[in-house]
Amino acid sequence: MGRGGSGRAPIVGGGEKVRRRLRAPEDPAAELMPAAEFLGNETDFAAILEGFRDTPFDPARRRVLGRLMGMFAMDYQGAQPVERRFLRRLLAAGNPREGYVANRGLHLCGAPPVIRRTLALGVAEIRFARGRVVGFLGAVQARVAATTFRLLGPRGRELLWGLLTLAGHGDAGPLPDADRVIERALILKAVAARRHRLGPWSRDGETALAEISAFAVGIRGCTRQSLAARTTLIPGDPKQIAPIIAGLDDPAARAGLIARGEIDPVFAWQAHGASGERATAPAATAPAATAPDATAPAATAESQVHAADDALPDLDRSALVDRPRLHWAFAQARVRRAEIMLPGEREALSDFITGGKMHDKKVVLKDSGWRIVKDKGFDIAGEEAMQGIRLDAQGIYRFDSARALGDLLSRYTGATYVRRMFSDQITAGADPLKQIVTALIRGLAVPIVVHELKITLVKAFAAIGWQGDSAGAWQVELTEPSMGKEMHLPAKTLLLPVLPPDFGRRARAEAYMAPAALDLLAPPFGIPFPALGIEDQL
Amino acid sequence: MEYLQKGLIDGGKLRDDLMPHVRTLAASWIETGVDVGVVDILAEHLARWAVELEAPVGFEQIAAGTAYLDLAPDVTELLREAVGQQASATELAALAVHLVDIAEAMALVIFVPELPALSAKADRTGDAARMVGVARHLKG
Repeated sequence: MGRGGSGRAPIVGGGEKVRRRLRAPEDPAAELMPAAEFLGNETDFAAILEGFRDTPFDPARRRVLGRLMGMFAMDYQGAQPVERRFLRRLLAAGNPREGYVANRGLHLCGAPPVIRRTLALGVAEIRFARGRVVGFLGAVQARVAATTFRLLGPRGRELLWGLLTLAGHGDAGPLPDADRVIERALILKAVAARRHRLGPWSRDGETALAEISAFAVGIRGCTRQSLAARTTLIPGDPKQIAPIIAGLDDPAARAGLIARGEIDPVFAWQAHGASGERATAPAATAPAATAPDATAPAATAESQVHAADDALPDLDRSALVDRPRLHWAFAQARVRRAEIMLPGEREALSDFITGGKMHDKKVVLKDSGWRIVKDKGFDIAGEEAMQGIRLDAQGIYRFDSARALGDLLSRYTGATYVRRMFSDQITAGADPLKQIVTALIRGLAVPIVVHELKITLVKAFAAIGWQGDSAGAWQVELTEPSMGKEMHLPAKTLLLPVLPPDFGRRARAEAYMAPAALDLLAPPFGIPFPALGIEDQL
Repeated sequence: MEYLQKGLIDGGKLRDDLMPHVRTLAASWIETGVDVGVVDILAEHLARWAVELEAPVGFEQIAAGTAYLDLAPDVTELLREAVGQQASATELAALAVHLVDIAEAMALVIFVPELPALSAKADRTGDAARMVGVARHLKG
């Protein structure tokens, strides 16, 4: 049994309901998660909920939050110590709910653990002790930051990893008064704010990277208070209001500037004069990972443990990391037709990296396409990576295509996408049609991959609309975006062993991309608009 | 863009007849080379602007506040039509959601055709199988 609960033995038996107060748990995290108590020790959920009735944590009032607490309990009990420490930090922060939602979303994104924890803490930690509860970034911004980071090119990833590694450091090493987690979260937020400039055919990608780099150096080693006040234009600290806001009489223009500052910390930082209060004290000489001195204050020991937890691992430099960006480049080249490269060049490059056979003519087209990638592209991939990707596709195939599909689809949509196989879902007793229609009802399209049985041909469609009141009568509207073809058909047709001829010869629906995780937060960007009927669903 | 003359809100919610217009606009903007990434971040800016907005905002103010995004003429035209003389916070939020819908529709047109290639790998031919065998042998 995990240590998430209070550690006491069950005292309720035979379904008997009792009313009692929860005792103070040994683990502070348990105070915030009745479901953990339930899973760990308790046989009567109703008895536990008595202690939380009419509080913000009353699951009866917050159905989705209650489900989240259940997930949290399972996360916590199954977690390693480093993850448990992180979850406790998350819950002790001022905005734990959104922080935890961000953590779930980042889990589904497959963000590296340190990046996931950094971003989730950036969401959970609040900037100002008073006034509006605002994290350093929002849950959706955190997801966008993680996706943008993963879709960066090799040079961008390398640069960013270096900046993240140096966060919280002065000339002589780590600064104890600096907050490297928040620094990192802000750097990643700056990356997310430049996502439209970091694409594979961007013309000012280099400038965007230079701005991120200058920002990271500028905020390096600043105190947390300084980071909180000077990377936003929200006037939370009356002593640190940016001059462009303070001197502005036009409320609409002021709102526009504050909004831009909420998107881009670099803009806010520059508006504050691009300077902040530095944490000047040198770091403790002992390495963070060593056992803390027994005589040192508990807070120091805890911060040393956190420092060890926050250490960045080596950057993943596998060639396969570049494959999604290559496909992103091809996808954009396809819709821009010959403006970037000829269709034949794009197809030859695509065939090359997917391990296809290359005859002489195709090699010529591939080489010419590759020159365009090198000359016009922004940090797309190196030649060695191309070869590595091809070898992988021809051989062992370690490429995680499901995650790459999710990354690209999540790029400009309001959800994290995960690939689900129709056959797996049916075998597991799930209802894929219900999942698809539920997503459509929420306004999210569902891409569907169809496979022709006789030959290795895969086609992609997207479910974009539905009709019908009952499960048996659902009709879905499908489109094939590349052809502009649209069709309406009964939803249950998707489960047939052989689809109608419109899908190809002897085709069957293989997989669909299910939107998940951040659809828990109201779109867009986690901001509810009650006046429009767009509510916070937690 | 005549559909915008009736506004984006009907009965306190986004009009439910917008999706065909969304798809038409998405296809048209892709044709004219509008960058979906810019539409995406413009939507975020307007959504956050709507949250902060206390007084109505005019088109010129929005154009000035989003000038850093170097918007394509088609996008600017949509903003002009949708904002009209002035937009309240709710109307600006509706415009942001509308732009999100357009960006999503554009993303589907761009990325869904790439899905087959993204999951493609070479057939498990004899050559491929031999390469796997060689790799395993080398790995020990």
